Amino acid sequence: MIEFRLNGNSGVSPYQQIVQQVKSALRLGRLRVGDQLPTVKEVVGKVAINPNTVLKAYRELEHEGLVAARPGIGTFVVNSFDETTYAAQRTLRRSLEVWIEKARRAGLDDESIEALFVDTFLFSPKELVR
Amino acid sequence: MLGLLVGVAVFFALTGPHLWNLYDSLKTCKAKGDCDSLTHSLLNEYNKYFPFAQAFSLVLPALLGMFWGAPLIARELESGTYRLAWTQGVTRRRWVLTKLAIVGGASMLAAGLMSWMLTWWASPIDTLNASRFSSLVFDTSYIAPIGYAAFGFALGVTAGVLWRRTVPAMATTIAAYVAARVPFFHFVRPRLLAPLKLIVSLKHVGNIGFERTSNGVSFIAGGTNPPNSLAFSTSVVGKHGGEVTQRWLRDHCQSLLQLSNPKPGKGIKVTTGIRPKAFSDCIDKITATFHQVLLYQPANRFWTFQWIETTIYVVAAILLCGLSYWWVRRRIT
Amino acid sequence: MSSALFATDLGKRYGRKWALSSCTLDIPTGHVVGLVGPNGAGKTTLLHLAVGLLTPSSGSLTVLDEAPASSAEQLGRIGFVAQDTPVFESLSIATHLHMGAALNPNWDAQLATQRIHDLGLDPNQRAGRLSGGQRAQLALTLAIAKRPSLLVLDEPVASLDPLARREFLAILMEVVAEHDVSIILSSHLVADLERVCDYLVVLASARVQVNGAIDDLLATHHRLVGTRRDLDNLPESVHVIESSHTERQTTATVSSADPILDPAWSVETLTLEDLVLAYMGQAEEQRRELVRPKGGVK
Repeated sequence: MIEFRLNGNSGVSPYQQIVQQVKSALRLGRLRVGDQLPTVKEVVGKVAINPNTVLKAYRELEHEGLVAARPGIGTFVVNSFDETTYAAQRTLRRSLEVWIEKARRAGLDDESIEALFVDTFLFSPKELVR
Repeated sequence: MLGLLVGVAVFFALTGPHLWNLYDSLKTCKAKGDCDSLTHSLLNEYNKYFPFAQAFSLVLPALLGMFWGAPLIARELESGTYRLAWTQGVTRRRWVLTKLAIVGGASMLAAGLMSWMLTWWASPIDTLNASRFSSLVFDTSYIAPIGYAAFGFALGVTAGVLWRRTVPAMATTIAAYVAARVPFFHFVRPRLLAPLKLIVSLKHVGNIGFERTSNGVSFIAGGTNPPNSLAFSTSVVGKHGGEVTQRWLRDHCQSLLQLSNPKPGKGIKVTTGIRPKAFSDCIDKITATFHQVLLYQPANRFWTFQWIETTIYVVAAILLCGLSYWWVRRRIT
Repeated sequence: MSSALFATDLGKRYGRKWALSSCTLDIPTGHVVGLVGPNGAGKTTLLHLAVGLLTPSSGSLTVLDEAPASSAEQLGRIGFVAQDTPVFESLSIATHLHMGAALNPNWDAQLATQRIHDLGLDPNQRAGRLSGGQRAQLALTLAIAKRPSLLVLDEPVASLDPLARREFLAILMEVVAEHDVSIILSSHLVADLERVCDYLVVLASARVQVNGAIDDLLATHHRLVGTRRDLDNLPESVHVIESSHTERQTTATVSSADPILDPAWSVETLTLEDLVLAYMGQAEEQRRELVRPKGGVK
């Protein structure tokens, strides 16, 4: 079952962090259709936040069609992102690992690697260039 | 505190039967001819323990006040646990009343049991001495200690509520207890009912004689209180008024005054056998003119006094508890 | 019932000093309410008034629509955890639970023993031997097992280490998730409240500075940054709470019901901490105004 980690200093509100972490888990295949999300009680028991925050996040995910609440039972994943992206993700992950190793061998430290990646990513075109 | 009570109870239980045995054998001593020695050993046994037993009984109400009364509410206030106790599902009113009733009741019960044991334990000697009504014996027997315990306890609770701290409350309790009891016992008790008057001829009075003082010589006479009574006052008074003054002695007992005894303050007592004529003449004259007037509370009023005094103290305790209760409800905010 | 706490001009005075004054609040049920303010602001006074440990000097107060401590039932509906979580040091945990059962009409004995068990505490342990965090958990258990409609906590985590603090708040949130209970908790640490509360009351200088649902408050309060200028030109509906000026720049924390559309200002969102600090700063400034000699130089 997915576990949430909240970063108090990130500037992102807790409920948004939960939404993002669920979506991210869906994209990475850690959550699949049919999986149950932890109950509100379980979430707040691990991460001391207001239950309404969790409810709000789950409601938004439900609104986006990704999960559905079954009263008395729990909240379940009903939709995910495209299955074909999983395979592509695996290949891409491997290329990224190679690239990181190259950067390290070139003498870049972790912060430089991250800055280089973020910079390139932010300035890359948003749409695919055909 | 509880340990102390149990310890004392055990003490009474262990030493009591022996004393009673000695006392019982006194009944048959006339036949056996060992009355004197039996009485002697009985008195000895008592003198070993009596001061302690009596002291314990006198101080018990103050102890109950200090250890059971003072912390009753003060400790909760001091330690902050009142914030837990008064936010449970019982009202403050019920909490205070219940605590007062339970611990107050326990105090009275403890004092009652102790008193019962002490009365039983000391009753041989009280009977021998015919001293039931005398001070201190009265205070430590039958039901009077129950009243004192209630009072001591209530004093402790009230002190605790006013100080809100246990230690100053304990000190105040014992001070207030003594300050209340001593004057009562000296001044109030003998006057609770109008004392009876008894006139006794000086012929029947023991220990009469003269004492040399800085002014000259003065007449002294011992007391002859009826058995088991409470003495109020003893005085030697003329049959038609007046007292045995220096002047009277000068007028009537010249020859006595001329007897020299260079040491002032030394008593010159009349004893059988040695009867200088000057002495006996003077004594005869005094006996003819004066008598002893005793004011006392008779033995048959003993129980009346026990009830009156206990009631007074219990009422005082109730009033104090009422004050504490009102204070806690209204003023501790 | 819709009001957890309803106060009208509530005040409490000790001698000449008012520990709390002109306090008017209508806190709805169904929320986790954070009561925040500096030490000595009156938080403990307000909470003690709410649970009947104090009586008001002025104004009126009802909790769960009844006067505080008015009856055994009313007391049974409110669970209270006082500052420093007092317990009876010489009594065992089990005795505390028995006491709770005897003194509270709605006591849930199973819940209590289950919690003690889940916490890994030995029921025969004397309460005086517990660590700070364990004592806080015991006090919380005693309050929760009453099955109250309202839980009031006075700085429950102030003296706890970070781990104990997190565990305490987590258990508190579980209780909220599971039962229909409103919570009022006070703290002088905003970070804790931000995660856990959805309603806020700021107390400073013995008065309520601001109160409301946190989402609403954050939506209606903003930080305005712009070139240095006077703040008198702002529209009527905008109230300045705090402002500061440098040579070139003016920054102001404001509350505004309507959105601010003036392009001269850059509008930023506030964190809860910013908001609380702004109001506390305002209160402090007002207090200093009162103390400052009249006609003096600023």
